Amino acid sequence: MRLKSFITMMFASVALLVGTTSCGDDDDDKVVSVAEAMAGEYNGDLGISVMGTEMKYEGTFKITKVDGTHIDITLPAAGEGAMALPSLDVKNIQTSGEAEITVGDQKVKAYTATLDNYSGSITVDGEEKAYTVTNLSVAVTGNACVITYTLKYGRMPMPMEATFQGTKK
Amino acid sequence: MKSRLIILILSVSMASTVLAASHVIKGKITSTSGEPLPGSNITVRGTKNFVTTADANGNYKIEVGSNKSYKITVSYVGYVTQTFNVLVNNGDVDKNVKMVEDEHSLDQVVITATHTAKALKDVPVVTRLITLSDIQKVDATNIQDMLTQELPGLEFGLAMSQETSLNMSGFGGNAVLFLVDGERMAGETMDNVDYNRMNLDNVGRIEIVKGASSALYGSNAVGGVINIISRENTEPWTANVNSRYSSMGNEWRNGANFSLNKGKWNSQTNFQHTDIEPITLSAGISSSEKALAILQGKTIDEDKSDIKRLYGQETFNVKERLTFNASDRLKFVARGGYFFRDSQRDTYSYHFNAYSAGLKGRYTAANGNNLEVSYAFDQYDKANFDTSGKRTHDHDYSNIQHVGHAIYNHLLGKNTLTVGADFMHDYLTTYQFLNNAENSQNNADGYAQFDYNPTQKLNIVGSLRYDYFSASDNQSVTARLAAVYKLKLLTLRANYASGFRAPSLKEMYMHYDMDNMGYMIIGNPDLSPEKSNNYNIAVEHNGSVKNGCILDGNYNITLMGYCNVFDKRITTVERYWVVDASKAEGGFQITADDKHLTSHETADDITYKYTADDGTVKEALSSALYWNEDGVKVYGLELSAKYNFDFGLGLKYNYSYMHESGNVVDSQFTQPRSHSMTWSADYEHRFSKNYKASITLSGRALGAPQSGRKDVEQGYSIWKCMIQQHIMKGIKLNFAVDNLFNYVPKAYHYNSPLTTGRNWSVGLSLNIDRFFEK
Repeated sequence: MRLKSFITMMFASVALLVGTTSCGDDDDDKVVSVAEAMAGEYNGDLGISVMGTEMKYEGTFKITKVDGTHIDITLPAAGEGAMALPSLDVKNIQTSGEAEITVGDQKVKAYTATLDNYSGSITVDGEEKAYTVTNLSVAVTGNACVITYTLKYGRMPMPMEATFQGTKK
Repeated sequence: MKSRLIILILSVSMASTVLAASHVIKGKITSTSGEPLPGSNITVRGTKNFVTTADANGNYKIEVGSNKSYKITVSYVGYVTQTFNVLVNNGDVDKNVKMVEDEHSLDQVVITATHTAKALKDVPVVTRLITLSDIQKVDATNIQDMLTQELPGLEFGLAMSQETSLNMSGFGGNAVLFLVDGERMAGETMDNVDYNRMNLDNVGRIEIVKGASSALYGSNAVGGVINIISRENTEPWTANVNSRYSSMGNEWRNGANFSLNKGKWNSQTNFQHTDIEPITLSAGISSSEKALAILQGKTIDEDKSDIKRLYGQETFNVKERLTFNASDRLKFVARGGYFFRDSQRDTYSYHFNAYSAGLKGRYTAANGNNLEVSYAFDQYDKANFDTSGKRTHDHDYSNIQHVGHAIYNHLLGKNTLTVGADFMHDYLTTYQFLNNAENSQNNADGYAQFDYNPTQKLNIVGSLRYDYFSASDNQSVTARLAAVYKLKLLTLRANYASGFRAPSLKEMYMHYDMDNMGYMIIGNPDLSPEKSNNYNIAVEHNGSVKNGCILDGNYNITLMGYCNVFDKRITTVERYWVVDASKAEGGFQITADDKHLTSHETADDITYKYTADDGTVKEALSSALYWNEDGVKVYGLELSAKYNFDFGLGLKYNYSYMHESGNVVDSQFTQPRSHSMTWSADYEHRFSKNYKASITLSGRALGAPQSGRKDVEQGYSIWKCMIQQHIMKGIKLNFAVDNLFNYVPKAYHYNSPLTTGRNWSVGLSLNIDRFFEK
């Protein structure tokens, strides 16, 4: 009797564990779907403002899913010649979830991710350059994507305020 | 019998005389900053009155008679007369006296205007004096706070890297020479030294001479000299600990000061630590709100602020000053200091380290002639560290200065001849030089000044100086002629002075490509020194009311008009830069009228191409080149008025009008303002032996920028109220409310007041040595 009870309890525990795990998987699927919904390559216009001076570039931002709750973004290179800003990686950006927004007359679902600050370095022509990205926000709905951030690159003392608007390739 | 009695009386009398003469009251009379006050009058009242004066080093010695209590009065012009009792009880008595400056007196001594000690009322160049009492009354947190509260026409702002910039009556920061105890400081932040190094905790007074002073102080003294003079204690020992908290950025400032005075040695030690958290100036729309708004096609009401968040910061400052009085005539002073600042940026930290040391010897001959020889060392380093604490080496900077001075004052009756010479070796390496190159230069100079006093009413001071700078091979000759004439009711002053600023190593050798971002700043070794000619006249009236009414007190009104003609100003101008050209590493400069340069206009932009003689076409990029530009003419009026009522109320008002014409710099960092003013009202009352309180209401107002620009901070006023309480012996408790009327800028521009609205502070200071006073 005791053994039967024990076996019953074991099955119940395993069932509960499986059930719990199953519920967890369901939740993960939702978060993953946000990261997956955001992932992709977006092509569009990148505006960079330095101390009030605006510069316009075309560029492609690549958003990659890291895990259920995080994405990476590759910022595009901008400019040419002496104006060159290399392609930079910003890693492990926390996704924020979903929000309902109005685009035109339509209510649509938007997916967002934010990052307060990120510091990295890149080697250009054999020289290591440090960079920081602050106040980064990503908003995606359907194929449309908006990314805003502040970039400080290398020895340049002035921050660059960047705004990107693009659509998925 | 009668003769024996006479002998006995005579013997007793002689013995008592001998005994009476066997006791001595002696000591040293000094100012609160420790300067000896030679010639101080000391009167001792007992059964018999004794009068003497302090010697050249402020020492006095009086032989007194029997054991008893003597009332002593010490007086010195410009200082509050002190009266106290000394008990002589079978032995000599040491009694040092620290005289408190009479802040309302024009007899206070200043040294910056002529390099020699002169009473404020006698000095031929208008000098603004900020006393220790002024510093304590406004509860200034730092030198910037202090100066902006006292001086109209002076405005600090921030550069894009959040380093401080300065504008004083139309002159930029690099045209104002800051000195600490007469010595320069190495390093620069935006356009001058690191103001954080100037710790107010041990400051005795600040002297400001507006207008050129290069004939005495050399380069940089184009628009004025601000000399911060340290305190020096003369008691056997003192110990002070203090702490202050401000709600603005949860700022803490903690300090400690110790002094020891034994025999020929005097030691002053000062330590200060400050810590301030980052301050969000303007929250505005968040980046995520902005991204969503753009996604929805909404119009965004963008925050126009240039600065949205102030970086947090931590500083340490320690100073030691050791004085050895080898004899009454010979004195040596050694000093050393270390300063550290951690500017905590969002994703990295900027570390600033400064080391200073100096040795000075001064010999005063019996006839008053004196010779002073000194050596000063100052080093200022910067380095960048990432979040893991690793030094990145991409912002390395080091400026080292070795300076030697010699100055001799020769008295010729009432007149004084001063001759001096200086040598400075200036070394700089910075990430803003090509490949972090090292550059240095030597500066040698010689000068002479004659202080001529033909009558009691007239004083004329003439100065002439020659400077040579090795790197630029520049020479400068500067002169000054200043006169003061005292009438019965008015004091008239007239002053002509020339000034110069030699091109700095940075301006000559900079090669700053901002990491290949297309905008370069390029130095110019061919720069000439900036030049200025300054003319000013001033009228001063001092008076007092003694009618036994509420208006009893004394007052002072000074009106000064000035004109500064400033030429060859060093600034950056737009030039073109060719990438990978062969003439120099990294490219070379070409002028806009170069025939090799052609413009290519598109709908959005204009680009430039450089076609070399061999037909090779290169991209030409706009860059900034240091250049001597046409100057500006600045003229203005300054009014200063104060009234000190006998019942304890003090009123102060300062107004400045300034107009700038010519090649005016239109910078978003500094915007000269035509009208500005400062004011204060303070009242002090002693409620009991153990409790005294004072209240000070002060403020400043700045008008709109003279340029008419609307995209920078427009006119505003800021008020401050401080209550200071002196409790028992040595306890001081301050409470202040800053920005009383809650002024909040609509947007934070580089020259906006850095306030988020009304804020408060509380401070406690304990003079531990006074707890042990009897």
